[in-house]
Amino acid sequence: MNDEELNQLFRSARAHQPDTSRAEYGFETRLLARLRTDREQPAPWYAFTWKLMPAFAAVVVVIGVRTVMELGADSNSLQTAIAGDHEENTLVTYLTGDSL
Amino acid sequence: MSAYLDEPNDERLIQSTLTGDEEAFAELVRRHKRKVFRIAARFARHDAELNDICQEIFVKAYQKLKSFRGEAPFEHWVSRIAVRSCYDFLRATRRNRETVSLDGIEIGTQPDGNIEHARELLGWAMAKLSADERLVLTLLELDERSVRETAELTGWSESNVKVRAFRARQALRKILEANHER
Repeated sequence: MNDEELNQLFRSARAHQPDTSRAEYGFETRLLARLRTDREQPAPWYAFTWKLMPAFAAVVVVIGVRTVMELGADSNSLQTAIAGDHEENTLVTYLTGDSL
Repeated sequence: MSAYLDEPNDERLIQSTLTGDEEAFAELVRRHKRKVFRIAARFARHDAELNDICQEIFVKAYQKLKSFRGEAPFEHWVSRIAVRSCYDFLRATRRNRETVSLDGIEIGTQPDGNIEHARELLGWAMAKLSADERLVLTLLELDERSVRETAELTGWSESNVKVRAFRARQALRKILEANHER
């Protein structure tokens, strides 16, 4: 199929304007009735979840900061312990004459 | 003449709607529904579907009315909502559309032939395209909109519209050729 044949198909389809008058009839009335029904229905609980986002974000930040602080403290004490052990090991090695 | 002068413009109707005047919104709908129905009719398969799509469009317009800043006419703003809603609708119903039967539709293209058959054949082939392919071809080829207008309505860049249109034509040609060989 070449471009001209395709364009011919489009021209044929363009020539046809769909008749929407039947669907348009009384449309405003149906639409307003739907808007009223939507308004009267209570919003589902999950519609409000996005409003809790700042609270969730704050909780995540607090947990994050606390975890980092605890890890920092742990790693400091661990480093101290390792350094101490290492020092002791070095001394024992030196005194017993064991090679590393 | 005086009746024409007394008629509130769209901005006034929008303001009234925002203060809770439903009748003002009904008047806005009355003024612009023809254009919205014309856009949606290219994608709907029957009147009930057309009614559903148009209701979705105007419900969205009602809900977003606060964000209308009046930089473009209300008609353009609601047309953008209409095109995006049709796109969402096409994506949601694509699977149903792919199974459209060719029964009763004359196979093969006839440049001088029956307009109705050509239209049905094109409708059948376009139902097999992806949502964005169908949307871009409908706006450019059937509604005869410019690339710029199509870009504004879809929110895609102009170069993106051109690329999508080129690919959509290729895909449509393939579908029609495959059908012709059968």
